[in-house]
Amino acid sequence: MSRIIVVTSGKGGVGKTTSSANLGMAIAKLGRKVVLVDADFGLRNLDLLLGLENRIVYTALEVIARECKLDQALVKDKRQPNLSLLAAPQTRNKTAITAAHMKALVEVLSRYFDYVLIDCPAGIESGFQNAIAGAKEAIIVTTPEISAVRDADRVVGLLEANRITDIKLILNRIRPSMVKNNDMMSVEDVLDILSVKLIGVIPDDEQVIVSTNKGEPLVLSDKASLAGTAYMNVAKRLEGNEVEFLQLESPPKGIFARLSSWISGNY
Amino acid sequence: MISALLDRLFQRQNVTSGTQVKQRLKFILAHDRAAIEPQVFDNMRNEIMRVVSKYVELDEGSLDIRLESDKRMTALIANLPIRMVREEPPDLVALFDEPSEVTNPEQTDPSALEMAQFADEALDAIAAKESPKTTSENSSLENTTELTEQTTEVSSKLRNAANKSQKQNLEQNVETDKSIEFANADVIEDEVSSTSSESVENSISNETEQLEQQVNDQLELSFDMTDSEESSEASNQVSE
Amino acid sequence: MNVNERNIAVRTNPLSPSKLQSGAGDLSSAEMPEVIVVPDFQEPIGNIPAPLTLADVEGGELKPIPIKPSKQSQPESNRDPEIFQVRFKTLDGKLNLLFPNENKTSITLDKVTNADQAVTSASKDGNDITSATPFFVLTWQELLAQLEQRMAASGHDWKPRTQVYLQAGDRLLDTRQLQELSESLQNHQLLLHCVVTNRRQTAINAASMGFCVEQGTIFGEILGFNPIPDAPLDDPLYIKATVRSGTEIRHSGSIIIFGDVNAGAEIISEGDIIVWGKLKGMAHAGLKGNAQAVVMALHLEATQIRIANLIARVESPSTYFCPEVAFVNTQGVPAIQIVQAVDYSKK
Repeated sequence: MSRIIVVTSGKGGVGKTTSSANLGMAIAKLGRKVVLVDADFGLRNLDLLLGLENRIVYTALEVIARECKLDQALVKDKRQPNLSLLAAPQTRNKTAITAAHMKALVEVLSRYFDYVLIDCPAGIESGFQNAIAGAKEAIIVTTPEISAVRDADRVVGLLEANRITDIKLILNRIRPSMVKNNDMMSVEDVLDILSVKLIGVIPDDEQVIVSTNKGEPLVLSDKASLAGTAYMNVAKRLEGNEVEFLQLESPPKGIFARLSSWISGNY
Repeated sequence: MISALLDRLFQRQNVTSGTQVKQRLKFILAHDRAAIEPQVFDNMRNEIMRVVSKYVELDEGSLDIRLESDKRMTALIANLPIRMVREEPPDLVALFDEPSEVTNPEQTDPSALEMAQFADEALDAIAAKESPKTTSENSSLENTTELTEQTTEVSSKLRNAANKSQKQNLEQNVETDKSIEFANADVIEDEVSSTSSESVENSISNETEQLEQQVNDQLELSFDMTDSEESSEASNQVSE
Repeated sequence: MNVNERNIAVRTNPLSPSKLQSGAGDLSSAEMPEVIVVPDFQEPIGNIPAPLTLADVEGGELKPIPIKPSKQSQPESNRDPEIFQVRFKTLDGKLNLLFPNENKTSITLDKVTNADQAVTSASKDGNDITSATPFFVLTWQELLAQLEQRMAASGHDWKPRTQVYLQAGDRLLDTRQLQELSESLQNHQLLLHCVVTNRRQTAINAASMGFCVEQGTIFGEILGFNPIPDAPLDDPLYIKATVRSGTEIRHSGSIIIFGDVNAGAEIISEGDIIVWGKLKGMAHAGLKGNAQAVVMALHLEATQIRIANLIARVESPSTYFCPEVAFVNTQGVPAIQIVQAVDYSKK
């Protein structure tokens, strides 16, 4: 039975696309067939994060406009054949697509892939409405900041109103040292407010930026990173495995520890 | 850890990703600015590959054809690794034919076809619901495109030549063509039965004329932009 | 019948204009007829606007609260009794100062020396005056004078520093007038605390002077403080979910929520609001003027609590988890008070 999951947040810039890309890659690495659908029509980004921007010929819009076939629009990742991408058009003509179209596309895709991950645009307008059409589960991405959490709460309400009740949370860009100093909301604080099931805590990691530069999702890199491991854990949890949450403690301040953390590139 | 240390000392890692991102951004912006339609660009890319592979055998996996733009101009840069030079001189006549002898290593996934078919059906269902709203012109155009499938086999071959699948390898499998036709014919039959008879009659005559014209056009070298546009249009229509 | 037209029950007024202007001594309320404003039944009783806040006053629109017909009103709705005098009325522990209704005609602000003149001018403005007797209009000076005499000759003994609720109706009061009023009251150890008015400008002026402002017509307001005995509330609405930000729940009965109410959510009820969870959003109980409604929660850290037309903020939410009740404390100054549940049940 395939799973249709929408990755949304409400607030922009919290890490939806990054999470979709990395999560998709991680699930593919676990052996499942995944298709990533970029629902941000007009400002597509998912292809950039995956490093597949050069291979986009047809997008979802061409499929809907019947200018090409669905399989022609799917870009298979050469590094990870389990992963495919359905890119969004760059056109500003957002009215071309409706929720019904998205639902139909997503349903057809779900027959051929184990996971359909929909990368939702920011906001709660028509882009959001189109993205959640056809989704059966949702993953909310938020950062531990007041506006992001408030928006996430709003979105949870909207999802529930649209009868999507299986909602999970990824808490992104958390900084353990700041949490320790009580300068940032902790995981418990956020859960207290949102009351949705936590499925992942991703630390703020410089490697994420490097991976975006390269167009190579973290899990593909041979160099292990905290964020990459965290995303892998999320994928495992989605698959039903119980994985303990990473102990994200700030590094110890001893001189040797400092040196080794400097060497490995994580501060 | 030592290598990591060396990396950091020589700033290798960060420089790599930094320069990489700049390159990527340049390319993607060049694409965006050049405003060549992706299909057209894809056609161009495949044509180039096809022509070059007449003379030399290309390592198709590592082909790199992209646009790069400077402050003043945009350039097409192609990096085509050669495996070996072909022995026989190319058949110049064959250059202008559709290359049915170039086999594609991969078969088109039957499930991909099925998927495309399902997608078509689903989208048709939506279109049917929306059809009262659309103008008669649009609906007749749709009917037209669907009906052309039945008229010629040649047109479907043309379509395949012009529209490559995402795999970037030349997929000139005749069997593939046939199966696609077959699948499409099935789909079209269903659609035909549901459309109104009046528009069907009108469009059949129109479309056969159009198609004959397009078939003629296709035989010319398709480096001319306008022609390739037409051909891709015809192919698009035919591919429904 | 519209508010502008008033059939003045002048016949019942024993005083003649001249007597009034001279400020004669028989102005004690005992001799005054019991005047009660009869509500206008044609007015739509629909959307009760939110209670007046400073924000409303400073930029928003003042909407008149439609008056609910009450059992105590006079049977003839045609006759709209007028208040001609400045009156004090204690109701429910609140000391109300009632001002005469301001006439809508332009002559209200002029000094009227001759009653006949008043009639002529009034009829020129198109007022429908059926009564033959002239109606008079109190100028501000006269009003103040009346007030002075009331307080001096009053048989009430107020505690010093009792707060006064000025029921200004639709009278326009500017800051100078309010200042004079306040001083006048202070001379008799009364504090002008709140201005109840229907007019935006009056509200703005009062607010800018630091008085609390409430919206309402004169008697409707006062009467409305007693719960309307026979107005049935809907059955309670029972919600078994967390109410998310951006959700508004409105019900014409009590609302019971088994879950949290997140910040950004609004619960609006004509009855009570009971939250079996954390109340972090906004709760408005007793929507249609029921000041006996309460707001209860296991953890009261609401952004705003409103009961009837009173507003309160939760200044310092309790740090530990303890159930609390917010209700209107009618002793002394009516205000929303929050006590722990254990204490509430003891009351």
